Amino acid sequence: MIKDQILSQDKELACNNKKVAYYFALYVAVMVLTMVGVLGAEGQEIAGIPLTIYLIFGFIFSFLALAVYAHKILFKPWAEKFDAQDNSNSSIR
Amino acid sequence: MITAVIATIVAYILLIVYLGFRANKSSLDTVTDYFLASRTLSSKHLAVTTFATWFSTFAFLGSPGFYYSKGVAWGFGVIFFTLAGLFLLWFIGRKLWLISSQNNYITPAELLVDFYKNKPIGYMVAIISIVSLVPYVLIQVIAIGKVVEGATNSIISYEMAVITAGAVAAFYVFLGGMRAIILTDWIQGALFLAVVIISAGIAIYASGGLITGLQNSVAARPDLFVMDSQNMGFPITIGFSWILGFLLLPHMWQRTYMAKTAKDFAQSIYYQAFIVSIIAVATVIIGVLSIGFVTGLEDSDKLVPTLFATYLPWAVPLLVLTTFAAGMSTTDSQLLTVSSVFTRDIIRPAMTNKLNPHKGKLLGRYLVIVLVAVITVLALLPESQGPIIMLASKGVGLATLLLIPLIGPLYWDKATTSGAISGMLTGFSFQLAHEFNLFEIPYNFGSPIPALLLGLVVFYGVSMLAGSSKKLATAVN
Repeated sequence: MIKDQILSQDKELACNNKKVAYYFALYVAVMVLTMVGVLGAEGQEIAGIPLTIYLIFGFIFSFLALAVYAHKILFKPWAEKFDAQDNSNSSIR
Repeated sequence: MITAVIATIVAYILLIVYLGFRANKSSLDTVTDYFLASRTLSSKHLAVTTFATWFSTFAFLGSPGFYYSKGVAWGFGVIFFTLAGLFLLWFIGRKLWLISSQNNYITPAELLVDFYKNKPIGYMVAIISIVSLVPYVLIQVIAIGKVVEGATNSIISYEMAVITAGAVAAFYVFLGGMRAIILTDWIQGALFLAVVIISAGIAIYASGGLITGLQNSVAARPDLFVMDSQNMGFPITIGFSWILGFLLLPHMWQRTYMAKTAKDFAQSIYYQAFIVSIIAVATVIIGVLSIGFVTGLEDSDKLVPTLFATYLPWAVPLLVLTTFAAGMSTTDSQLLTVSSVFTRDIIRPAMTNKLNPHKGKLLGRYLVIVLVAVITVLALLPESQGPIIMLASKGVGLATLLLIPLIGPLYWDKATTSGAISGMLTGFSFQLAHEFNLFEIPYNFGSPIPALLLGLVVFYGVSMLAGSSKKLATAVN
């Protein structure tokens, strides 16, 4: 199994990794619920604009927000730590 | 106009041939350099090549047309696969990068053979890789031929366009391998982004502004703005299978092997998030606003060409060039990947003598030429187009099955070879049976998601059983 030594050693980063995973799972779940018609199936409108339009732009911008957040708390610090250690301990089985 | 189209394409061809020569000068005589640019990609190169390779002609011709003809509800699937796949780069791609850089893997099969210590699984993964990619390359070449023939009023015939596109791709991939692909991806990606943004601008201008245009579209077709819960299986299938395809299609998988440092890998995800968000917003704007002012369009793929022809006719050569370039940017990477799969996963294991880096590169180069020749001949056969186009759309579904053996190296040490092979075979059989209409799946779902779930269940069950019987045998002995 491929082990990421940085995430195994750094508890804060491991916690942030879980956070990002949960937010991503939530994002996917809400999107799937929308796609199966839980939201937007009745043709609701807000200020004359269909709810589905708000939803679609909402999904795009929340994706971008999540990516920026994940980069700040996880991707960037992980990469800095990894390159600093020049990690060569990852192993396969 | 036709002269301008021809001149633009000729200028573009000259430029990418020059880039092929330039890439050849900086390349090293090793197989890793030829297929993966020696794993030295900076974040910007990695972001651009991933984006340009992933987005083919479908993204700027097909997806706005999708919104236009099927409505916002159906567009969620497109948005889903455009965006969410990026996070898989972190959760799965990061691990692939970690392990490949230390073990010098070039193809997906090499990683799996190393984990399972089993050669047949490598052959199986290689076959899935080829079957999922070859028809995909073919439809890109066919699309290039049709677009160029149409835009030049048959002055450049379909056959001529197909042969030219194939020859040019073969030439620069032969010369510079992955380095040439990356250089050309910058031009192809820039053209792509420019055309998508220009098209969105045309849609906003022609519809009388964002809000007015939206209101006109809703007034014209209110049914296209309501979620259709009875047929949601189709967009969900598209969304999930393409998200997985973003990482599991072999030419995309190989891109996770190419980052120079961890910073380059992580930063490339960040850059791509901005690029794909721009594309997602622009394509929604193009498709949704066009509902209100473009009427009577039967073929929705012609929406963007219609916008250009009506509102910005002088820029039509740019659109034709971008279609040509978008097809090329996907085709070149897929050709190189198929060549690497043949070289590394099929020919090399069958050879008794070791293939040195120089010979490996040489073999890869000549295989590119052979593959282009085969693809070009297939594209010129009229009877091959129908069934192969149908098959191509199944290619991504087939690639999702690669997730089954990958669960082992990623997350589960108890995975066994028998589990992985039986899981993939079960998923493949399910997809095949559905293809032959042996059963129907409710809510208009396609076969990839249930096939993958079923394959994973079999993979788990067989691996557990194999593990138990191994333990039992050890205890008895």
